[in-house]
Amino acid sequence: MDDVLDQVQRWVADGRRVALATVIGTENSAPRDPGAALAVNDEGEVAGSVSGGCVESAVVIEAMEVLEAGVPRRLSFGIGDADAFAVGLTCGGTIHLFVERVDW
Amino acid sequence: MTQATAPLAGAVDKARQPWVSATVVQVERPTSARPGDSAVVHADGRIEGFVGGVCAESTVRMHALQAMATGEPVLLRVVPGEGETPPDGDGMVTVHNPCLSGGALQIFLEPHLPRRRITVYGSSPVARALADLSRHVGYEVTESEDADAALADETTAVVVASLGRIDEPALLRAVGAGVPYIGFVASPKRGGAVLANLDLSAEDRARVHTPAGLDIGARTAHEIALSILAELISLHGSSGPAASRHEAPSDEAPAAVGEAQGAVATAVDPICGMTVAAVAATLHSEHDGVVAWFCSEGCLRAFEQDPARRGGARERSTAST
Repeated sequence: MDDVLDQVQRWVADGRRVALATVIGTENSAPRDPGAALAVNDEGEVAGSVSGGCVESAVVIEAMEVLEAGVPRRLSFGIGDADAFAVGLTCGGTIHLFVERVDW
Repeated sequence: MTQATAPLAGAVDKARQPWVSATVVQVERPTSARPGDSAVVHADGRIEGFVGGVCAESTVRMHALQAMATGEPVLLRVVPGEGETPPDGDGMVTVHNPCLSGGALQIFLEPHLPRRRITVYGSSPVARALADLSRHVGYEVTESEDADAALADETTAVVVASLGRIDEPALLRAVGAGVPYIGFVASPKRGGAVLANLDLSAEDRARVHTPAGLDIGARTAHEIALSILAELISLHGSSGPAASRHEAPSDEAPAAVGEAQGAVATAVDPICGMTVAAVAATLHSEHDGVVAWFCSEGCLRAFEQDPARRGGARERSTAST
């Protein structure tokens, strides 16, 4: 996550508002390990990755909503989840995410 | 990622002080913490921020210090009541906390550790390519043409690629500093000749890898740099943070709570039976040279006010370790 935090700090210093999604748990084979993070700013710019591309777009949309509402969310994407098929986590595992607005 | 963590995000590279971010990611009420609450756990066990009161704090402190020692993030489930639950695997741990008041908490603990350090001697094309690639791979890189200067503390790797300019003194400095990986970029013939002329024991000489790098048929400067990084990673683990994770056998079951885990000393609170970190930041008291550690002021007070409990408690504490 530290690589993403560098970008978050630059965005915050530029006056951007930022939401951060962090992998907090995985089951079976998951593309990224706990600690992997993705940050989104209020201009829609994205840094980092939580799934190697599989569910990034869905996570970005959730993160934009968290950015607006300010209420953190816990999300899971897995193969047994119809939604995961829709967004394409084909790797067979499950990832659990925590999405929060950065409040620095 | 609330205000508590802001000053430390990024600071780890400047001060090389490890820290752990603790973020509440889920609660089952009643709890005083809310999702998004967060705290910083320092290397000495001090906690800044809020993750759910003094009871939760003692659990967070212990597991955060363990995460710092292993380098692995942990999803901590803190549930009320006594008892032990075996580790869930996949980085999840459930801990019973007898002093918690009803609700349950899930807290994500992520260690932030200093980057590993590599020093590259020389300004040859291979030296420049190696410095460049090492940064991308995640090392903190020092480029040096001065073998008289001391190496930075905790240097993981030294690669000497000065094309003869300062090869000998740089190699001697690296060997003298006990650097884990030492690579010498030279042809097998020159590499062998330079090493033979150094005033080193055969053992020390064998610590220098020359020609540096795995034999992958590298030809260009960047390919050679890649082969050197590949050798470094194959011998000394990930370029990632400077934790001990790659030295520990990965298939070994995690130690039971209550035993020493990683580099963290633990103790059992004699009043409530919780396992806590035996560090200065944890509440403790000393009687007759015996130190007792507590999860909270309440337990400390109960202990101080009841000498009979002290005796019984010590037996219990001993029996459970």
